[in-house]
Amino acid sequence: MSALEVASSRFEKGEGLINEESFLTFLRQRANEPGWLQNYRERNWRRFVDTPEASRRDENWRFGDPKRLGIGKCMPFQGAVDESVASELRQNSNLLPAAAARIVLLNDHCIEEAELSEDMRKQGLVFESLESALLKHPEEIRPHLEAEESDLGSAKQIALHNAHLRNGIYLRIPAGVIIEQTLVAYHWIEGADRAIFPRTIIDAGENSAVTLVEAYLSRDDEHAAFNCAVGSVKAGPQANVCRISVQNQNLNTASFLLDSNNCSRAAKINSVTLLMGSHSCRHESFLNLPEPDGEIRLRSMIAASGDQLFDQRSRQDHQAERCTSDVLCKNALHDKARSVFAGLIRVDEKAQQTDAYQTNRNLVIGSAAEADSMPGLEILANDVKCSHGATTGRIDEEQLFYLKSRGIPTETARQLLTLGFFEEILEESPDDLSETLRSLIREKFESGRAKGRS
Amino acid sequence: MIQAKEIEVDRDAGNFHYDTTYEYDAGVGLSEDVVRYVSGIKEENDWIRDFRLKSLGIFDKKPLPTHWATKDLENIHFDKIRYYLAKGQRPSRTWEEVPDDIKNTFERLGIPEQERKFLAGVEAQFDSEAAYSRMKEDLEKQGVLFVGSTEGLKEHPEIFRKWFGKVIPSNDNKFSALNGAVFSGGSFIYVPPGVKLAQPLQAYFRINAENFGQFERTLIIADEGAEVTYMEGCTAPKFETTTLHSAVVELVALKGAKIQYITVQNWSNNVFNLVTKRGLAEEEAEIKWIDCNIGSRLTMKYPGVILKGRKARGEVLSIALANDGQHQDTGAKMIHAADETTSNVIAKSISIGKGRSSYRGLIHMPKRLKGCRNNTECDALLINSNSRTDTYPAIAVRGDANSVQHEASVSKVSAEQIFYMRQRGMNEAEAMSLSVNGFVNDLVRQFPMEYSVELKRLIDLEMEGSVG
Repeated sequence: MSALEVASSRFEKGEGLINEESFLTFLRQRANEPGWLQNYRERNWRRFVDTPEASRRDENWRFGDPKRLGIGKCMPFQGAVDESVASELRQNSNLLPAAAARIVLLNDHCIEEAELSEDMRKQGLVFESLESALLKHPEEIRPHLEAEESDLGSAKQIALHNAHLRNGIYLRIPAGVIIEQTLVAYHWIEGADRAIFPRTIIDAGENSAVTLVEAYLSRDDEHAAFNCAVGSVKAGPQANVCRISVQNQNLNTASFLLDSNNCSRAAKINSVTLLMGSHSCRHESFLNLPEPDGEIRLRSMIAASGDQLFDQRSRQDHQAERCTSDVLCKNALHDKARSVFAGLIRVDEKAQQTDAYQTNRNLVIGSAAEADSMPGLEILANDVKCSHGATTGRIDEEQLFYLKSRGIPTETARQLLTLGFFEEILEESPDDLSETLRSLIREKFESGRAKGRS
Repeated sequence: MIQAKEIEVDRDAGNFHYDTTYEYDAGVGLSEDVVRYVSGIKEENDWIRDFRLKSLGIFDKKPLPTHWATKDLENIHFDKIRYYLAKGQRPSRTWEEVPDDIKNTFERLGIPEQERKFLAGVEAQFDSEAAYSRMKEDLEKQGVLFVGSTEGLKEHPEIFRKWFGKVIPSNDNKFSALNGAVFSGGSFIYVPPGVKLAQPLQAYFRINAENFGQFERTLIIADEGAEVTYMEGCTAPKFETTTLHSAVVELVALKGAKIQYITVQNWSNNVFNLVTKRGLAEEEAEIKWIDCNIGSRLTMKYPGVILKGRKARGEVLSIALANDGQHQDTGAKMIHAADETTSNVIAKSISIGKGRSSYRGLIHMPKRLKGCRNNTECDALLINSNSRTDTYPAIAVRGDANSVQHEASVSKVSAEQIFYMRQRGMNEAEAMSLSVNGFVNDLVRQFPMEYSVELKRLIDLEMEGSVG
């Protein structure tokens, strides 16, 4: 075998490390892609190589731990999909049984495309895997990929993602179309040392409305994995987009969820993030309000146990008048789990009559848990209402006493109070999903007692 | 909406200077020779000189903190600054012995009247050295020491050496290192066990020479159960070129002691005011920083308290007023290091014109601690449409037995309030002034009487013509 063949075969088996050689192999294997996409990959690979490793000394990584979020020896998996695994995962993609349409991805391969109803097709809705979209209408995808990126510290990871992205979700809603039912997508990881780079693109036309739920899940508990998901939501004028992301990957996964939300005039974006899994997770959420009267809400919950680390950064960027943004992040920390919250409200000089809020609530349950909070404001306009609040505390003794005095065991009472703490985030999801999530959280904190404490 | 005009600030109260001939002048720029020169004039012991030289080494090595702080720091030309200027070595003991030109300066600033009236002791620093220092005799009888840094280290090493540079080591930051190398003047205070000073001690700092850097060093030790209040004021005339003020203030409150430290800073707006202030509170001790920043071009000051003993309490009350060309970058640090320690931070800032005020805070509660509490409130008021405010708190809490709350809000003077007051016959400027005074009122009331009256007047003055 030639050196190239050896490299290719190793690459297909997902062995070795991501490096110059592995990238070039990857690039060569995809030589039939449009030229702009190949250039885009190369450009981003250079950027990845040139960008220095993040360090805790960077303001964007303060209190964080970039070392825990490394890719290790994880590689994208190019080999064939095992049909029995695929059918098992299709079976288990059941967070939202009532969804109107679903897409299932496994290691960045699409194992089920959405079946759209007659009605949806007629309305011109596009909901498909990114791979298929890139084949069918690459020029439509191109501006989304080449759009200017905003990062909150993970520029290097975004570059790595761009160089390797293969699949993901493409959702386009034509102007005036309102999709009442929820759409759902699953991103599964299976096998040892897998890296996935799923990209989600939501493009909502004027006056349209849609809700998409995405789940990031692992098939098995023991395998190491790396997830670097990038998502962008573009809401056209008066559009109404709701995006819900659930991350419940196994405890050997390092996970990035890097989101940007762009809100046109009088549009609304509701972004809900529920984070439970992975050993270390970094969530970045950019809320862009470049046009007047836009509104973005971010609702996020983190249920952490064992020695999990959740590092969450958000930025509310007000550039136009009369916009509203509201961030609420609620974290419950068991054992020696850690959470970092860093949020910034930035209000431009022009952005008068802004309403911007930011709240971080940390419930510390474990005696060795740690919550770091850095809410921030940068206000350059004067006619604004902006505030932030951060609290860190324990479960209220009186509430606990009340429940105990009614015969509820301490542990159950604690759980109930924790679930109650999350309730205002959970109720943002459709009913059947929030019920599933409640049981997932309960399960996590119960099994976490046995498993996460290693 | 109220259309606000640019505000003219009157800082002229301190805007005058005298041509003074200095007996001692370390020249321009910083080097080992300058440090040795300063140390030499002061006839210091070897350990102090070594401390200075070590600090200089740290200063040279440390980068400017521009990865988080404003780039304006790069405009400080360390090689153009004069690091030591003094008229004579010994502080004069009575008002009569003070040279006339210096006396005129302080006369204009109103210091002697204040002293005559009610102050327990006055320390006035003119450039590098204390020009006038006097203590009420009864204080001396109680064993209270109130001396300059040179005298303190030379005459009373048994008291001051133990704590000097311990709360804020030279390697804390670049500017504390700079201070460590060239410090001069400042107050060293020791209050013996159980002595409670009914009257505040006061110091007044003034920069008179152009291109001059003032590096005073203050160390206050309140022994067990002692109580002391210290007030400092600062002014400088306006020069063409920028001036640097970089002080280090260390407070030590032993078991059950109380220290209150009040600053009213009104440097002219070309002074870089980069000050490190920190207190150490032992068991059941209380340290309270009351900090008011009105002047300077750039102030970076984050008074802190290390809560080392059980039930220690730390408090920072801060008012900042940033006008055109000013950046008030202030805040607070609370390091909880023992059970049941509590801290409270209340910061209010007002940005006028193109002024920028920032709050930066750090709350640290390590695990294993129980019953620690912190409350932080930051409120910002923006007067003009191009005013700016930032808030950057950092809160690190470990363990399940502590509680922290932080809240910040940004607002402008509400049009409704102004309308209401105008309806009742006030003109717009009066209404605005009343509204702003109302915003800071609950904090101003915490200041000693004479300061709160002065502050109200100052705010009225600053608000004059802010609406048209």
